Amino acid sequence: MKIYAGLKSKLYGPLIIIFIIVFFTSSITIINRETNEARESIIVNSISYSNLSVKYILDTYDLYFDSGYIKFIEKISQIISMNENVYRIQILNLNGKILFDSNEIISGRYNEIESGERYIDNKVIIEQLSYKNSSVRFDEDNINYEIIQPFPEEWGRHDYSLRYFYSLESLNTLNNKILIEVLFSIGLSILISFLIIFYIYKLYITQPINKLLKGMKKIKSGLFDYRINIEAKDEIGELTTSFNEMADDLKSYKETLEKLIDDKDQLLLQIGHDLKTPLGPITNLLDVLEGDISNSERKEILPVLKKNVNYMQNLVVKSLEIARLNSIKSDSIMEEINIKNEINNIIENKKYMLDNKNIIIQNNINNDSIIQSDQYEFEILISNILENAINYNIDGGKITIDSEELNEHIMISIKDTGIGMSEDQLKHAFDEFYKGDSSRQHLESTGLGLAICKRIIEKIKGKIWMESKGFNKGTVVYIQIPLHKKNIKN
Amino acid sequence: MKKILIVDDEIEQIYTIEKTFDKLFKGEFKIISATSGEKCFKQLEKNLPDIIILDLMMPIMDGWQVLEKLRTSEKWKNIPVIILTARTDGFARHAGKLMANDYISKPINIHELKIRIEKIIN
Repeated sequence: MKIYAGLKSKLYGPLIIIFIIVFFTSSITIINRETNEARESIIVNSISYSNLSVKYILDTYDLYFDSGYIKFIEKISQIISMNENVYRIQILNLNGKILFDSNEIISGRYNEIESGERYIDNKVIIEQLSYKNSSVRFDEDNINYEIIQPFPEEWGRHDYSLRYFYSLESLNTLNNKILIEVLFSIGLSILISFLIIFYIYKLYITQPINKLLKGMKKIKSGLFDYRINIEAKDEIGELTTSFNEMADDLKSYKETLEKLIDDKDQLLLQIGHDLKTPLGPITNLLDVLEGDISNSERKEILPVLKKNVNYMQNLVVKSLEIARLNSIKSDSIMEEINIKNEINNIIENKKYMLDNKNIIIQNNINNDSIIQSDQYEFEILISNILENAINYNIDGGKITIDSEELNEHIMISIKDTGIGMSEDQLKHAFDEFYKGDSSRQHLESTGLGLAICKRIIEKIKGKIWMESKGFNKGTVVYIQIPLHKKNIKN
Repeated sequence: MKKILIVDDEIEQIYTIEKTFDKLFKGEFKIISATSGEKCFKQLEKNLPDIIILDLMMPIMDGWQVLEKLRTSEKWKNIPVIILTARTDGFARHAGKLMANDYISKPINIHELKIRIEKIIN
């Protein structure tokens, strides 16, 4: 199953992914570089700090040696606090003997460890103590490092070296600061570029495409006057021009078509009038003649004439009716119809046909169901079914009409005791010009009556179907019509 | 005997109804006629019918005009009218139903016409 994903997600999805990648890679690179730089500068700083402070420390060390270090401790604490990275200072002689260790200052006093002389056992450090220049040595963790700072006195004497302990822990807070700054600035620039791209996309792509889409929908719904207004000199501009041209064409086709349909409907109306008018005198006067003809040859001719004239009449009336129903322009007028009254009325109007064949009609419709239909069309619907039930019935047969309300529909059944229908006939009965097989061949049948019924029932959103148990077993026509809202109680 | 006034510009249509009514329902109806809208009112002055059968398509004064004049007059507004027409378009059907008592489309079936007439006047 394909999920609908709008143009926006396709345009902005990849863009967002690119921006996220750019955001992370550039952030990581910049943060790394900044961190390294900061680290380097701390180390350089600490070297010069050691360099500058060594003379002062050793001078004061000498000066206050005798007075129990009290003053010296003050000074050295000052030195340590002045640089946030240094946390410990040792004074060593070149043999590695520890003369002083700031770690041994406890609550402002220097407690010399009582175990006596202490030495450094690391050979590398001992070696470095005698270097003329300062040397840097990192611990394994890369966070702490030491600077061995020699103290060459005047005339080249070199008795002491200082061992400074530095920590890069302050980098961590610095790192966080850099992180926030970098993320903020990159984030901001990405947001701004995204907004610019969003605006450009919207202005040149999504907005015009939505306009085109809206236009397409308007045209689809039949508003051929709708035109799209996009002034762009690009593919979308071309698309707009083509679209508007297409709409022009459609409009003119539609107008031509409408005129043709109007002409056709007018012609049908005129022909209809001219064809129907002379049929009245012919059919009715033939009936009069039938009563009093003594000449036997004429007596033979008359039924043939009558049959053909009736067929012609049926054909004219029903063809015009189906043409009217098939026309795109519907002139039906919907009104509320009381099923019981209307059907009773139609049965009364067809009484002469029933009497003619001695057919008994049993009308069991007794509820006042209201439906919505064109009254004339409803009359044709029921008349056609009824006429079939009479014409295909046996002399002295019976017609039973029942109705039943089912939820929001009414179902009407019209059952006859006539010749019945085969399965094949049932399948095609509603096709235009279908006349069934020879057993049903009835000259007056046009094969249009039920097709007309189907058109009418479709107009009122109902259903029509037939059932028959076979030859000479009668036929039941069912129609199901939605009830008017008035009937539906709740 | 009920009196029927047929208004139609085609004489043969009038003749058909006259003849068939005479043959098939002898003695039940008296048919009088007028071949134009104007003549219809002249007939009405002389003979007041029980029902009028009115053709819609007539020259000069058509069925609609006749119907309107009938319905707006004091004397004749209560005479029932059945419209007779070959038109089955929505407008004709609807207006016919609103203004007349019944509406029957051509080609007419005499038996059905009789039933419809009886339904109205009885």
